[in-house]
Amino acid sequence: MCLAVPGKIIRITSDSPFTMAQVDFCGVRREICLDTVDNAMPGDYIIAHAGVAISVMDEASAIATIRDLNLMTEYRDRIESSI
Amino acid sequence: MNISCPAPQRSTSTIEMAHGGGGAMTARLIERVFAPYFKNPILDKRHDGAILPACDARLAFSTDTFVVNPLFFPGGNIGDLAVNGTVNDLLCCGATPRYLSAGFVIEEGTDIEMLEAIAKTMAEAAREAEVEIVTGDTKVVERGRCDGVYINTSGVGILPPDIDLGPDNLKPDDVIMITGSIANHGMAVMSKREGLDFESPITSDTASLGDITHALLSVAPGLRVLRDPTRGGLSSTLNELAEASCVDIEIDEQSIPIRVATASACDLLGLDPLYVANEGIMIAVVPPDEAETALAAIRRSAHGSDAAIIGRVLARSATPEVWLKLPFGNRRLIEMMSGEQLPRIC
Amino acid sequence: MTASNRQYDMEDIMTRAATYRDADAMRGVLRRIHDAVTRQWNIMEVCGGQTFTLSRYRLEELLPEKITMIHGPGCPVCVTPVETIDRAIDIAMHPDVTFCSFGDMLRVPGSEAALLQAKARGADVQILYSPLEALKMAIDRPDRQIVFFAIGFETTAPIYALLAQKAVGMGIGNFSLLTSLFTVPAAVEAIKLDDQCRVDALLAAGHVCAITGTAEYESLSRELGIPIVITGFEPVDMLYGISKAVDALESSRIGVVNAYGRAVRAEGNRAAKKSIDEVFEHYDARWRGIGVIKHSGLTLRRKFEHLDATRRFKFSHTSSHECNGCIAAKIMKGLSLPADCPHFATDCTPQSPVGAPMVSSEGVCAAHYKYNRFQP
Repeated sequence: MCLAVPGKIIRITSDSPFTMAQVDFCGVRREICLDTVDNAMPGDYIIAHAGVAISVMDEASAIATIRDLNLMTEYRDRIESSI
Repeated sequence: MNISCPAPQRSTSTIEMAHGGGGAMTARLIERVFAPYFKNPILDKRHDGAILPACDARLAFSTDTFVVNPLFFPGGNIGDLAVNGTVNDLLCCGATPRYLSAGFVIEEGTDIEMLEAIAKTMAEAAREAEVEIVTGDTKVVERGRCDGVYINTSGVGILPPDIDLGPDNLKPDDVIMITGSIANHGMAVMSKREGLDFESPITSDTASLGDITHALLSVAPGLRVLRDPTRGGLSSTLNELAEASCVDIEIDEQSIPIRVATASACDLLGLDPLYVANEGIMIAVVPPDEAETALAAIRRSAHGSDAAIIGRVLARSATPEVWLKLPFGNRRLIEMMSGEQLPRIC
Repeated sequence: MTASNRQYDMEDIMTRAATYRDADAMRGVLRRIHDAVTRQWNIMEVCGGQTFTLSRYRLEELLPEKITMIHGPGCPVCVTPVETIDRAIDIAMHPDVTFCSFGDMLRVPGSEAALLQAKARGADVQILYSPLEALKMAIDRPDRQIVFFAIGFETTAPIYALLAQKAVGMGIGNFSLLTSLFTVPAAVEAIKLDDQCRVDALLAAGHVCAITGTAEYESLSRELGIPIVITGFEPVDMLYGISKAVDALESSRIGVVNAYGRAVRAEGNRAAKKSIDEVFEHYDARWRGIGVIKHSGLTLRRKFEHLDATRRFKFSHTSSHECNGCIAAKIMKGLSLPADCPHFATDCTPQSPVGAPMVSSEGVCAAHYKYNRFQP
């Protein structure tokens, strides 16, 4: 369930009836409602589901995951090049 | 003494039922909206039908009806779509498109200026494709009985001898290429439709592809098939080809050209770009020894800069299948589209 | 350059899907999984989105043979009860109603027909991408009754909560919700506690957890005695989650591992949780194919019950019934495979689904039909 995609808040565009922001999804921009998250600001990354932000993303965690993934890739490269 | 028309001159800005009645209003509509743009000696005769010069070559004949909503979308409107669609179908037969007919079903209340804009675009698309719109028809239906404007175009083209681009021509080891990036038309329309308000740089790829087909026919004498993957997208068209030729096909997901914004829009809506409609690209299949030359020729053409080799024909098969090679190297089956693609939430 | 001193392009690692579809990254994680596995493990992915990714990228065939994936119940399209579909069609047929829904609900079969057929028979059915558009429609069209088919899990519930609050706050009288809302933990618990169920670890749905946070799953993990890993939905995210599950299983750890930290915070989304709590309360919900599960659904609280479409529109339908022989229940509990069903790929196909899991592209049967059919 729950098709949701990450995007970056460009600017807040209106506050009534909903707080809306223009969000960039890798080159596609769409108005997304921010009323369901706390303290989302331009420059923040959010996860949008059905036109609404459901999460403000965490950059430190993303880096941690990528580091972990890179370690796995490097480990594999080492193992397979030594065969 | 000046003789004036007994009927009051009316200048209206929207279509009324009488515009389709066949009387003076119809004549004026044609004079104003269509005649100035579609002007050519055959149409200008205002005969019941177009009189075309006969030739002893074979003719290709194709028809298509366009019901797109919205009528205007980023990159085009129903007018150029209607011309390019039929022109491309003729080109896929290997023909040189020559003459088109244009039939309009117009909803009462349609804005005449908008209709004129559509006619103007059609004329431009026809000029671009070097075809003439030589006969036409206009009908008006009551408000609510159709969605703005529907257009039917039929076309004839002249088919040089010895050309056979039938869908049953595929042979094992043939190379499959695509002349441009996929899913742009469908996503351009989708982004406007049903209130999906993308502010996107995605534009429809609608275009006639005569330059590409001419280039291909001259450099790739072994050209097997040309097909435009319109409704149902790349997947459905490849399945049709596999079915018609009784062969398996494999395409490589990573080699299929798609623009980043188009791919993001598909992700956002939960649509699979392999099933999204295209209006300005073709699938071309050539024997392996002509592949590189053919690709280079396509890329030199106006609408062919994104062209790529995307796969090949595998063995003959009694149960034809189309396989998609995934980024990891394993593969899965891709099928004809089932039903209508609906934006999904989950 | 090594992993530790690399500079990261934030746009790339936050928003670019390709980063998490990268074949090299997949190879790295797969290597790790293959090296770590020593025993047979059954891992259930809860969510239809996860099932979709597994099928779309055919990840199961890349995993060690010792790992068996079991496809869970987490597709809201699939578990919305047949009575609710009948109700939706009944409401949509009211001449003054504009019935709004997500696209994938239109093909779900009710007792007799699906919403798509109601639309063809003249019902005003609109496909919306966002429920927000329905409230805007209600404001723009005071002459129409606007009903939104509010299906989903915790991910989507806060959107409906927001709409309910706005509708009440702005005094919009022509807007209502037909709700079919479920919560994941109660269902997972019920399935896991089923005697026949052999699930060793759970992959929890990242977008649900983005709302709920991880606390509920911590206690669930301890209660069930199995590790729970929260994952994202791209193929690398899924494999990464599976590798974390395998690590936990192999070292006999229970508890929650968050393998989707960029989207899921331990505390979840406070604002969303608050508004869900304000608008909805738990009730014993019926899941299509599974049955009633205690406290597993969300229904409008008394203060908002006038927005309940089932109160606003009389129901003329007599009785709802499920197609005979659909084995959705067994499939969603991981006890059978789609191919075990006599209807699968014969008279039940995505074009004309007999059972709900064939409808949504995330439904386990549809995913199998589309991506795994004819394949070992």
